[in-house]
Amino acid sequence: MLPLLLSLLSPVAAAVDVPHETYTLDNGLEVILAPDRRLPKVVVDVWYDVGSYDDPQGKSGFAHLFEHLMFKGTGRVGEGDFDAFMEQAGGWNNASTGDDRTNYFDVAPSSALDLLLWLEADRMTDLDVTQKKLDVEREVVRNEKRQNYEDRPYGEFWIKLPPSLYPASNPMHRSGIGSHEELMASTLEDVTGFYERFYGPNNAVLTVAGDFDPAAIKPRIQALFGRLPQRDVPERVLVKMPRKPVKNEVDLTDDVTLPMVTYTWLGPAAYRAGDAERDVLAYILAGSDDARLSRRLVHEERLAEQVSVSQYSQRWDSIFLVQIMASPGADLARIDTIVEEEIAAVVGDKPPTAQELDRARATLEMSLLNGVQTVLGKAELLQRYNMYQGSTDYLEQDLARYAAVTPASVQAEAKLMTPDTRLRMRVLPEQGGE
Amino acid sequence: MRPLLLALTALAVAGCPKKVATPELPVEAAFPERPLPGAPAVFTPAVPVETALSNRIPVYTVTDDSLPLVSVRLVVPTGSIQDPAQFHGLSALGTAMLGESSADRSALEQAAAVEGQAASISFGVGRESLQMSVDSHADRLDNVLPLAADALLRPAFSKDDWARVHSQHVTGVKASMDSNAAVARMISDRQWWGAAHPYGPPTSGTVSTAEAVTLAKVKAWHAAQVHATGAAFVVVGDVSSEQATEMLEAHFGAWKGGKRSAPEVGAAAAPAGLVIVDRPGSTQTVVSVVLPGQSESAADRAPLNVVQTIMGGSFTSRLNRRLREELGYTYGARMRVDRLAGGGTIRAGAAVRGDATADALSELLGLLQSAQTDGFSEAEQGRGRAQVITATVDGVETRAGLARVYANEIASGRAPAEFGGFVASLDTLTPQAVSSAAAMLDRDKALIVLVGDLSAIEGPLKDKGFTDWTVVTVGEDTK
Repeated sequence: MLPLLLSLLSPVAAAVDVPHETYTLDNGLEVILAPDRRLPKVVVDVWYDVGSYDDPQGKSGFAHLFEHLMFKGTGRVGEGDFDAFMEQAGGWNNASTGDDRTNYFDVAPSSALDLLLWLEADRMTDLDVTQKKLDVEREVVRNEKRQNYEDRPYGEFWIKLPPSLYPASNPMHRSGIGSHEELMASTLEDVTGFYERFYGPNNAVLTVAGDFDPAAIKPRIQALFGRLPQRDVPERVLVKMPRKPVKNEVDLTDDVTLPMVTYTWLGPAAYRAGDAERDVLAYILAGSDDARLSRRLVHEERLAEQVSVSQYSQRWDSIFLVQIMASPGADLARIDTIVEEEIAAVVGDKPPTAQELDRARATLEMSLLNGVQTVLGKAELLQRYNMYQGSTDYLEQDLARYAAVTPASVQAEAKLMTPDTRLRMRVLPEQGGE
Repeated sequence: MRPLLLALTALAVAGCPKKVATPELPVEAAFPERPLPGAPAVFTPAVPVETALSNRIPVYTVTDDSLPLVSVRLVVPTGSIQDPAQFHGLSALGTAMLGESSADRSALEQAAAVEGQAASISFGVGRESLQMSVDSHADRLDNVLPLAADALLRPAFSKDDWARVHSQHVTGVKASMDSNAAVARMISDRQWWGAAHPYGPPTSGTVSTAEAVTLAKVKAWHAAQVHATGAAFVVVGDVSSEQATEMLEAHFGAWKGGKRSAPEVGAAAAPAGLVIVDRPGSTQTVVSVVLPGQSESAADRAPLNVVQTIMGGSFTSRLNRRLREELGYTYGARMRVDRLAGGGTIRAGAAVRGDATADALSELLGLLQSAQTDGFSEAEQGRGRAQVITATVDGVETRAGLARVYANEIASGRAPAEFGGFVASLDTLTPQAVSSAAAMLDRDKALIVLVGDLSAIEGPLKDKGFTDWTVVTVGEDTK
């Protein structure tokens, strides 16, 4: 079986090959160049090795707030001009803060590449933050929290999930958006210190992807980034990640019509043993309408409107999340029972079938192909491999770990997913609901 | 915000990296001057090859063999405007039944068959068109198209499927009203167009109208509306025009045409004024301002698209800069343009801090006014144009994206090749044309809809001079 599967996967590797090269400047900046001349556009994508995990104590949400401040101007670029210069050239940009990294990406016509590189080098060295900028941007972040969490149906779930999974001693206990109180506690000194510690070339990876000539751009990268001084980046103290959530059951209420029931298990980090198996298990349970949990809850017993199961693979652990939108009047205890039964069946008398594994792999193939259609998609994937595996050259091994998944290895992971090892969190309608 | 990493889509790909020596170069004394960007290359979208099936359905194909993927879109000129008033939601429910059981397979068997090809087949309906989307590996397209044909042309309309789909749809309509933004949209459309206007009700229907739809009506809808007359295919990906036409002929060539009635679409009610929907406890207010816009048949879309971008289509847009960056009232302010056959709207809005509602509304209306009376600088116009061009390139980067763009052109009554004309018109846009479009931002014609906590916002609204409003409740359709 294995050789057949590998031969099926090899054409995938060939089809999604992203030609690229890597090198490192003397000051530690890693560079990834991925030319692609299909469309006249480029992406400059910078990943800094800092995230919400590194929020100062008592200042949850800080790394994300800081990300916002990176757009507020430098000694050379006035407030508002970072975006104005880029948009004048037809470009746009965005950023995101995760637990383990913060990424900044710029997309523009190829003719603007030099400008994009200049802007990224400039803010890596000369950020200008005032109390007024901090105060305004803090309010923007608080609005983001109101819009995306507090006023959004089921939004509170995402705030309450981290402290229900991780102990208070673990930095992952905090939500990345932070609390209003702790956001208000951030000071200008915090901002300066954070920048000086984490935002330097030796804590960053620069990826350029799209319509450009590497030979022409390398001297420019050297001239702009090669001059930047290294930072004294503190050693990150990694705490041991728990294998079991700190809470077993949490109920929330919200102004919603339908109950949402979720079950979460903690697991191995991205690319580690068991991660691919949990991906496949997620597919087996709810990867399609006729998947085991979807079929039973939505079609057969009509207890749910929607079922999704996802393996969120992270740098230091993973979150296996079963998310069920219950139907009006559904017996929630029965949903508990069915979820337990279906996972137990995977372990017991209904192991994963060859067809289920093949379909999971075929879905993976399509995901890979779709992911590399865009220049930004290519840049982000190379960055992820680089940060999580220390190398951009991981495609073959990545595909091989899925090829190596067997019914027994999936069962081994499912066996760890019991009611005792999970967090069940429900969002119940305030009004007694449906 | 903590990003949620979807594991299956986060798998990276790599070729063979080469470590190369860092070139030795002189370091300049001072930080280099900010470079000025060059002129962007002129972008010309791919022109599709046009063929036709034996039943005269046109097929527009763009071949791209850089990846073994194909996206197919089918446009059928029928939508919710054809729904009878007391059965709004009929076309949405009928569309939801496509892809359930077919003549040969149960719903789960159909799903398994599609999954077995690692493909996706989906259906959607708007006010004026129904679209089928098929995404497949190029090698398996000929296995996937018959599944799509079964779903579209031979749905079984089983009672079991109907019971589930109908219940889920009505529940979904109820649950959608949990969102203040969805309520704002629904009320804006109803007020602007009029409750009895074909564009007034939501495509999904309301709870009461969707509940009233029966399986018999859905079957009749399919027979009357889902036929080949006016339909068109768009195919983008690793397939030639000849191959695409041959495959589609095999599975859709026998599809017959029919008659379709086009309802009368009159003018919008377009009532200027302030409407408030009370949602006690909301920490934000959803502010929505609606103005008259352009219909799909407008000869020149580019000027209004540039106005929309300058005002609320980019980070440095006037609305976003003022309401988010300068005043901290919101996480993001936007403007959008909606075009339909019978007319269109311009919508500006944001979800703002509850305590800043009156101030934010006042600022927003002031920005509309200054744009209307003073227009835009040359730099702003250049920025807007550049952004629209970039958004166009971004929109066609994937096969599905290009297929969607061309399908939407067809749905708007244009041939796909006309999209190239739109792109070219951006390069020849004049300041006068943009100013004419900006003249449409007439605050005196605005319908304003606020969804928030009335008890918290009414005092400040009065203080700011907003004294005349209507409180709207939406009956059983919302909480």
